[in-house]
Amino acid sequence: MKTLALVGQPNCGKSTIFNMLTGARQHVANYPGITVDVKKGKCSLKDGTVCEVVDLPGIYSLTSYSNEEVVTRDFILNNQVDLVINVLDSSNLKQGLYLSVQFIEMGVPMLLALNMADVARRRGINTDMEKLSSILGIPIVQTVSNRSKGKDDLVEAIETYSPLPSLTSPVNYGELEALILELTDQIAALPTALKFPPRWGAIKLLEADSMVRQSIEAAGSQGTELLEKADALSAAFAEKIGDSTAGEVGISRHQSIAPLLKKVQEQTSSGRSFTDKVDRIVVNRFIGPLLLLGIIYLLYQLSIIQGYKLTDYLIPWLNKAEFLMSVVLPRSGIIEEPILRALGLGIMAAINSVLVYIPLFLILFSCIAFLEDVGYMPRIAFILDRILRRFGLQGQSTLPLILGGIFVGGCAVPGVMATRVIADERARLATILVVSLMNCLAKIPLYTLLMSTFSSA
Amino acid sequence: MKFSPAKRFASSDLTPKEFWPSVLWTWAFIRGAIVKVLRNAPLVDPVEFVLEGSHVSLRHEEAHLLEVALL
Repeated sequence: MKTLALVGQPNCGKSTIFNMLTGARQHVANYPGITVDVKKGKCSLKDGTVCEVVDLPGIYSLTSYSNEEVVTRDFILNNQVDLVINVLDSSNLKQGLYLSVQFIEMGVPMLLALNMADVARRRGINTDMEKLSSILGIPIVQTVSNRSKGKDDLVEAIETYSPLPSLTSPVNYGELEALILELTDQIAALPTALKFPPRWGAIKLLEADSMVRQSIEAAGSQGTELLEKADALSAAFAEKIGDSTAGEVGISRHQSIAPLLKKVQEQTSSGRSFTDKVDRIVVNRFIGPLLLLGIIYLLYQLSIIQGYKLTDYLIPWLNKAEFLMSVVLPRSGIIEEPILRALGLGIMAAINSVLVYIPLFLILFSCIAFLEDVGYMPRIAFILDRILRRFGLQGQSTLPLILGGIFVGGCAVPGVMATRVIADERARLATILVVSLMNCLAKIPLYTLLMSTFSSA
Repeated sequence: MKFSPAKRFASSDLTPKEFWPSVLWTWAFIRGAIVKVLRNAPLVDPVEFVLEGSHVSLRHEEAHLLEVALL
């Protein structure tokens, strides 16, 4: 069985590519000790080969700053991945290629899926895929995953992929190149075999990557000497040019990507004018907060008021089911009740108490999904950040809090799950603790029970 | 330095600060990059920049750690 790894930056449509390939047949694996999910599913190629598709977390770079980055690069380095499918947002190739060149430097077998091709077209961006493919030396396919377009091309590219003898990074590191070559030779000469290519390790050393340093340190005294040499070379270089080697690595990547894009891409219009016009209203100093209040009120009206009206239709059916259950179960006596009956009716009542909230949840989560899809959630975060920070939270805490029920009720479980997008660990923990205290709909029966117990006394 | 809407700055230093998320590197906040202040949030914080075509929001206290020169 082949293993395919899906990598890419957040919001590039990676998960929709995953769903397109696997038909959304997936299971979620949680990496121990960290709250990062890795989705796994299976897909069949035309020749009958079954592939395991792994949807790795969205990342911006291959550093070791965030859990997502660590999980992604560890998976690629520690597993026998047959093919890495790097998904890029076609409308923002500049950022996407920043990550792609790092995978090329890693020397992994890779193909590029230029996703959201329709968005790029609307923004007047035309990319010469053949030219880009020949420059990078990797196959490229175009997809519009949310409309399942390009699936056949992608499957064919996976089937026909054959590793190229040598991938050459398009990045020119200029003055750093001499340092990289020196460190590459020394890493290659280490007695312990490392999991990464020596050149990639050398670049990461210049970026002061803590995990690569640990791997080299584990190689013994020769590794320690190598680290000391890398530090000395970095310090001397920094003194010479007045900037850190880490900064220079980043600059070199951007300076290499910009001319590359000029060769393969042309833009006929800016395409952001509509979003800019909408933003002028949505995050306006005066209209923005009023609009937000209006949307929260609408959310309350639709999910709670209208949702409860829908439960009026549902409750008679649930009562009927409970009645049917009471007829089927053994009858109760005058002074005792059979355990089977008590248990059956108890379970039925418990199930009904959950089912009764289905209309509310259906409307609430549909509305939240709609707000997320139209891009209003980041605007809420933008408006509310200043208030949230007083409580140690971030703008990114908005979605978990809304799902958890800060405005109109919700559920703490998806609320806590949604906190994984918060990069800052402290803010993530604070959000998890706050979401758990929200007025979750399922907690209302408990509140009612507690109130009736204590207030009657 | 005050980050008011429509002001343009050029990045003059790339020394990584602790708060810097790696996303800033990805978004080409490199020496010489042009940063335009687009707007402040309704409650003043955060401030939205346009950096090489990408929209980035930072809190003012974070933005003040960036070394830039007014254009």
